[in-house]
Amino acid sequence: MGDRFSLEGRVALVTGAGRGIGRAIAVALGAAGAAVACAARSRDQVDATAAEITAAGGRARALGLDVTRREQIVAGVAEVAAALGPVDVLVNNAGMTMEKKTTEVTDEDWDAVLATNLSSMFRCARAVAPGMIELERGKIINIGSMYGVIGVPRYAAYCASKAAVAGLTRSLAAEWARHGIQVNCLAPGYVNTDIPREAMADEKTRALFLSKIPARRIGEPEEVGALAVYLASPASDFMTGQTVYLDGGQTMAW
Amino acid sequence: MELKLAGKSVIVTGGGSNIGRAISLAFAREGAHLTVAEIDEAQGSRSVAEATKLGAASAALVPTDVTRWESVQAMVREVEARVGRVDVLVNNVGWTFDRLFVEKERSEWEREIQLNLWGMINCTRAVLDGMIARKAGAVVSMGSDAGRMGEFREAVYGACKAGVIALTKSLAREVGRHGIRLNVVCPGMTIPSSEGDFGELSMWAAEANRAWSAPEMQARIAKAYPLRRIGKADDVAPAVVFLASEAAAFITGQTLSVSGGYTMM
Repeated sequence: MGDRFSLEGRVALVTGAGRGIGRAIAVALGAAGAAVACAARSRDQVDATAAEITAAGGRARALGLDVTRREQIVAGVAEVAAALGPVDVLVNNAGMTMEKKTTEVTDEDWDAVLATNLSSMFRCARAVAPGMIELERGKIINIGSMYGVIGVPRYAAYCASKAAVAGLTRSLAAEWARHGIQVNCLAPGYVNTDIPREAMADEKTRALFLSKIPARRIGEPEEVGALAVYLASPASDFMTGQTVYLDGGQTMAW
Repeated sequence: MELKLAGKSVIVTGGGSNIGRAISLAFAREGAHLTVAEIDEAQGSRSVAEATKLGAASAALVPTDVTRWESVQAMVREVEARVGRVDVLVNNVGWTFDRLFVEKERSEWEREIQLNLWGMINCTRAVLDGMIARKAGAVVSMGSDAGRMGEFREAVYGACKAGVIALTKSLAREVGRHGIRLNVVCPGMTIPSSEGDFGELSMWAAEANRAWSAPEMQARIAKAYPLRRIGKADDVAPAVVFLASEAAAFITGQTLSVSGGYTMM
């Protein structure tokens, strides 16, 4: 069974791989045998991620990439193909969050969240799909969120973008299934990264957060990495169009 | 990826045929202590023999009728005595009889409810005391896309599988604080790879279900799946193994369809 979870010989592109969940996913894919292109706007951060993978004996390449700049996406995918080979695993992870009263959200705010969290995923998927269709195999993992299925005040743009990611996932899955491409959405709940960690530094907030999670803890980035390996590997070859929530049981949407 | 299932005590109900058999063998390859809880002893013994060859830490058959509470309790006691504990329960036993709701006998509905819902309730209840005491455990139950979307000729079966999903979510809320996770895997139609892959008590042996095996019927069914083929037991087993493993330590109360994109929700 272990070999069905192996990514040996695969080339993965992870956006937003400089820190947090994206970094943990890139490291996990690298440990599972994939050559990993680690992409983010902050080049120094992805250099560190790539170095971590290489130090562990894996193959990696750092890539400066702003997913809101469409010409950079096309160039980035070509650069990865030239350096590591055609991308057969895309992890659309780059995203931003925004907490603001909706009456104070500007048009620019709204557009920025949708551009970063949603349009970028469409453009990255569109850029890698021709190569995957040619290979007759591919895995696209879109990072959604538990906020895509629950209503959270002051997060209108973020919640809308993450709900849309699940919709994008289903449509791409249905369209490209016949080419051997599986598209799934990985939707984390609260994970031990900068923002939840800061929020939970306050004891009352921490108690409130934990009281809503049946597992009574928040997730670790490495746990998101493990699920990403499953979704990137042949072990999930008959699974497509799904949204998998990794949230300690907080939402349990049908 | 580290699944850390070596040495874990795993019970697979209905581990003799088709999906249950593939799940049993997948855990065997990971080096688990395997218990095949089966009503069909001959079929269950075949899985046990193969599991031993594939590297199970140990493998045993415990003849079990999941619809009978005494039988299930005795099975779990036997495992706890032999291996010391239950780390993973896979509620795999399932049954349906392909017929329109209005044409079905009450006895057929009752059999579906017994096997699909009472079997899952009995087995889950029986392992929970030990899991709560040890503050660890994973339960993976087989649901069905019929329980998520509804399905022609599978009304009561679909209701039972919806019940499996809801029971899983409620229990995940109740016992999450004890470190116990419960999840559901929903296969679509999953065909046995050969006649030897199921016993005479399997739903695949039922006369009413034989029509599914006809090549023209299978070609028609495959068209309904975006991946353009019908599932195999080996497609489903990795999802079960993953959810049972430490790699899924923060995943609970979830329903995962492994059905070629038949259901996307």
